[in-house]
Amino acid sequence: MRSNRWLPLFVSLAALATGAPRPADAQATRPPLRPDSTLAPGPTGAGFAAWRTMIAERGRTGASFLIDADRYQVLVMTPMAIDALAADSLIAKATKGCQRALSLSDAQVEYTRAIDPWAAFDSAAFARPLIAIAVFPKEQRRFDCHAGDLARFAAMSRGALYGRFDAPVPKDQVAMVEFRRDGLLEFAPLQGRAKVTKVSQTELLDDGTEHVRVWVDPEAFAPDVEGAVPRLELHVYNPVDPEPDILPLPERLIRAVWQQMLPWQARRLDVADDAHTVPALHFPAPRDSVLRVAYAAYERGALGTAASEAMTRLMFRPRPPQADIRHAMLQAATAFSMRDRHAEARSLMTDIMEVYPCLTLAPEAPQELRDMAEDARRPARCSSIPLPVVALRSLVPGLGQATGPVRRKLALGVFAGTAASYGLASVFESRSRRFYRDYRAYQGGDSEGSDAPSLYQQAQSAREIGNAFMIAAATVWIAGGVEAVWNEYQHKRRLAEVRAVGNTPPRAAGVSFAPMVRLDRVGVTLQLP
Amino acid sequence: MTHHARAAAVLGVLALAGGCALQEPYVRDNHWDPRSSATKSLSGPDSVFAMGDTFRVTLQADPPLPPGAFYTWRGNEMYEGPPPPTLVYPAGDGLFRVVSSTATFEVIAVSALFDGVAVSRQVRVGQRVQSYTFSCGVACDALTWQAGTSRSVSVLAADANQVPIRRIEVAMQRGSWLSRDPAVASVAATTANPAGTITISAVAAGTTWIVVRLDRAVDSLRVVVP
Repeated sequence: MRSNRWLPLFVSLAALATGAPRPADAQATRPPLRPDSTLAPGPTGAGFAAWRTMIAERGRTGASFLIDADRYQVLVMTPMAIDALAADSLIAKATKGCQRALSLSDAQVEYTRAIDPWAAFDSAAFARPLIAIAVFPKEQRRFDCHAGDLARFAAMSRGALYGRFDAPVPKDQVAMVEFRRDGLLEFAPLQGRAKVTKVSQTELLDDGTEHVRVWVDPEAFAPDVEGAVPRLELHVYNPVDPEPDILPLPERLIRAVWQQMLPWQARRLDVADDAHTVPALHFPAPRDSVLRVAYAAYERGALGTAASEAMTRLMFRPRPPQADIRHAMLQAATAFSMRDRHAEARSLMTDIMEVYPCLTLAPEAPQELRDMAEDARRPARCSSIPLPVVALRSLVPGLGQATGPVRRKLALGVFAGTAASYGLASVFESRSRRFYRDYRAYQGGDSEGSDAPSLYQQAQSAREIGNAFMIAAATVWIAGGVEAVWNEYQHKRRLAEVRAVGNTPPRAAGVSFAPMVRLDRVGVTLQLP
Repeated sequence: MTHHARAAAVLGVLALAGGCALQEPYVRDNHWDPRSSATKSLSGPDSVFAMGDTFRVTLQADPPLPPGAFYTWRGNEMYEGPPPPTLVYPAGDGLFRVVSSTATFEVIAVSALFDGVAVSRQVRVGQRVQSYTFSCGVACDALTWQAGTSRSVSVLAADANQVPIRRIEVAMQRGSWLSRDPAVASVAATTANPAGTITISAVAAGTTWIVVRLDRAVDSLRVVVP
């Protein structure tokens, strides 16, 4: 929980009491170039270093996010994203991608490999779960010549920008950054500044331009118990203006960042309470081998391990089967809910209900979880129509699709497509008949251009076009019917899958073999009774 | 659904399905269309042998031509350069007139034109000798033949319309001549010539007939050698 909530409140009140910082203040409070000390894991970070190391060894995961503002750009990175962007080869790849566009030499490309102004800071923050937010001045004109977004973000994470730059102007520089949640200043355990390497035409510029990073607790991104996303803002001060530029973080970004940290949050559930609690909800055993391990932990009541294993697995490809994903997320939501972490549980339930709006939980489910599901439920058709009826309805183009608001556009599309094609077919057929009538009536001697061959050609062409539209109409009509039946069949199947979820009895004990792929090993699991 | 609604739906579907039928290619049977499957032909005489003659050809069409259909008749009146020796002009409504011809039988195409589509018939046109007379400078009967002497006799031929045969040498190539008694008079080997002359030689005393056949005309010249 947010044990240090009082501190940002105090800092914020102090700031209000003394007024907004002046440019001189901003200069005076500029972040350091080197970290003063190494951050301890803290009460919420025990074991985090080992966990993130294990994640990084498993593969690249964790998305970083870029926000473009008027004068600044902001890169938001989770610890997993920082690890994913850490390889020297990525910045070299980005520079190599821009080598031709910016006329760079091989030596310059190779030089960028060594650019890493944040190495000391990243090392200092390694053991603590923190979100890094970097604020850069914008390029005058950005060159999107990098070899992909990953390389571009990796280069940005090291302060390298590619493009054309004007001479630096003080008001466009970043002197200081504040991170505020719902208007209140959040404590940043670590902040620093580093030079910006401007990769421009034929040269790597170091004109004194700097960018700033602040590291903030992921809890700042947590929704409240009602599931509402907090309002997060960056207040960016330049060296001359007293007022900051206020950059709000998009809601989707806030949710995504917080959700990336959920596997780690889940890991802490068992630390908080070591006593195993066998949940009331039971799901089918997954097919995915890693999720089977999480499933086993869940069934024996190790809720934190179960949720963490499951959510960590979902961070990596290949994606497990859809049913496995659904049950893994429900297990995690159940785990969070049973440990009174309702914000996390609600977030997961919201995600689940977004995909499965007709999902209903078994009567054994905790009331809180059921309430969360109901709160997150969006309007959807949660009943099915008999397939013969759908087939019969589909005789009217589009009526088979008109089963709910979600498919209204498709229904209209099928109807309009069929009607338009049929209408065009009729128009062309009518046109062709007119030409043919003229053809039959032609008796020679007319002016040039209206002779019999051209009249016949026009009639036949119009008829062929009409036939093509008729085929199109029939195709849309028939395809619409087939789609409607197939969709209803799938809908019915999906409904059955998500009805009274959680009442699958635990699997009877017995000997079983299953292939196993874990984060750190591969093999065969033998389960004995 | 009620029975009525079902019946309405079925009828609607049947109507739609009926309307959905693909249309076959149109029949191409316009007589003025060069790629039409319609048939046309001309019937009439296959030869005309006198200058000034007229002949009529008749057009047959399947499907029948509509009333007032527009088409034109054509002989060989359209030419470039000097006029050809044989000319056939259309006189309207399938009637043609031989305006000019010679003893040469030429094949002339007469046509009915439907814009760019022509239906034609080939007609052999020329002058066939219908009658002729011998020309001996004086009355042929009054000629005196001396044994061992030769004389040239001309043939004056005309076609059925009494129009003098043009290019008589062509008719001579088709013709023949002989002496009934070569011991009295003989016909010299004669090449066809534009003047239409043959050379007769008196051999010995006696009387004989020189028979000349040109196309369908046959006549004889009496030769008396004292």
